[in-house]
Amino acid sequence: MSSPELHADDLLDKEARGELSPAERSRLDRHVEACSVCRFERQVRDDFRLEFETLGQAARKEASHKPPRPFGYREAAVARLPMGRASSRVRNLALLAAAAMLVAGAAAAEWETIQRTVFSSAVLEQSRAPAKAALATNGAEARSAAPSAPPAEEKVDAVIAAAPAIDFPAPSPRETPAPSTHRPAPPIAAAEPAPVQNDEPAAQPTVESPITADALFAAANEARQHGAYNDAIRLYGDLSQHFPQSAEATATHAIVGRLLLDRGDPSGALVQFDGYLRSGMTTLGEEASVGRALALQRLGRPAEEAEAWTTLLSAYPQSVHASRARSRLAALGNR
Amino acid sequence: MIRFGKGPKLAALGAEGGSPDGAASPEGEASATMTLALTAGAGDARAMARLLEMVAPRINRVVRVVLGSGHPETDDVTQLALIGFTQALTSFRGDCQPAHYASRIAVRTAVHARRRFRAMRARFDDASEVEAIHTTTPYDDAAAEHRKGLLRELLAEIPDEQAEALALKVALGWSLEEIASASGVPVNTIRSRLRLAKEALRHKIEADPATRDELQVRS
Repeated sequence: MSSPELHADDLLDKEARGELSPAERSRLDRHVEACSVCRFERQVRDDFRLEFETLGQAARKEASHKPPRPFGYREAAVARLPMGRASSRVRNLALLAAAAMLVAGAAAAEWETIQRTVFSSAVLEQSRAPAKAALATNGAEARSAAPSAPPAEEKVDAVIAAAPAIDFPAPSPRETPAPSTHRPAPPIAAAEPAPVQNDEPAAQPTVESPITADALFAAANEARQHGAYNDAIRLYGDLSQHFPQSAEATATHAIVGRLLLDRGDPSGALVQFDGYLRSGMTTLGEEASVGRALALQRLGRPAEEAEAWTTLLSAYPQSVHASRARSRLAALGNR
Repeated sequence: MIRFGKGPKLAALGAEGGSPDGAASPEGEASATMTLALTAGAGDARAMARLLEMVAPRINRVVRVVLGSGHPETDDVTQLALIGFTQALTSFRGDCQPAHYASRIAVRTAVHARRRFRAMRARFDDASEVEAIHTTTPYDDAAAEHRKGLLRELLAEIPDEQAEALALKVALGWSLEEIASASGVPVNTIRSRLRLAKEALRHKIEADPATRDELQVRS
């Protein structure tokens, strides 16, 4: 393997920020062609970016849908703490950690973890030590930049009020489908593989709760995350059938397309990717375009595949899949 | 496509996937967060509560990204990182943004946890099955999972400083300057750490047939 010793860290950073000039892009492309490590970094950065975004979206969604906790859970937790002279500080720390996790969209299981971990005597002891140290070193030179003593009540109020919002950013405009171009996507059932295996049962919406697009989407995602792919595809199909106009149903086409592609059904995948791309949604547009090109490649339709890669390059010139697209175009004789 | 850099959405996230919150947010906002962190570090419980509210989602996501979304220790490690953050805040001098500070602690805690988990897995075979239970995101196809898994494995194998720099750069998308600023070392030191980490990565890629094939590495 030829691997230049100097990597293109700066150029990769610039690419991530969308600040590459054409000359720099060409330099980066040449480097990446020769350096498997930077090629790998380019891909895996995008993998992690996608995961990070997905986690952020999930946390926002969970936080916005979370019903208020029953009154008294904090009090119950505090009651479990050892009482003593130092306990109010300890209680504060425990409550703070608990509050933080609630904001993070912590589920009941996580609350149990908080109780198990944060309230365990060893951890409480660890929390206590620096707290005491902090109090002891107030005003010390090591913390010259910090307030030198616990601030007055009204001052703290002002500090808290001035703090920026918690980091659940509002969805960007690109997540909203463009109404003018929206057309119903084909139903997923058409592409669903006929044989349904006995996957592990997926979480279904409860009978008591009204079935909503959101609930179906969540159930389908849960099934997918647990590896029950056939159940997931079926649930995504239900969503598409019952709520064809919902944003979830549209996004579903791109997700199902990928599932079908990974499961060896490029024809079904192609129908789904086309459905998504026709919808006018752009959030997963790049991935759907890549999926479409891959599906055409696997179907052995070179002319259409070349067209799909060209479309991808023209719509997303800075795509992390650009080098793959160019390489396929070269192989297909279209460069 | 949303770039993994300074797009508005990621910038709103603060440190991860974008620039430090000081650079992406209005100056006043960054300064308010800094004041809050220093006040919390001085021992004010309410300021600490507010600060934890702000950083906890980020810490949780950083831990998940480093460990893998479905890792069985995610919750515990998040707790440890939160506790680590509250403890470390007493020595926080405001040299970098609090969000960066929290993220670095989360990365370090998660890398250590991964190392422990790897050692445990080496001792008990059945633990390897637990690690295999990773949830996937909509576009995490098998190849993406494999790539991320390979990088996560590497983080547990290389020295701490290199692992931290690599995780911040590749997994969280920070620039060299951002890592240097948060770590309090010159950019060239970060370059050097990354060069060594990438050398280890190159060996790992070469030793992994699936990744080698995918990257069309010529031997």
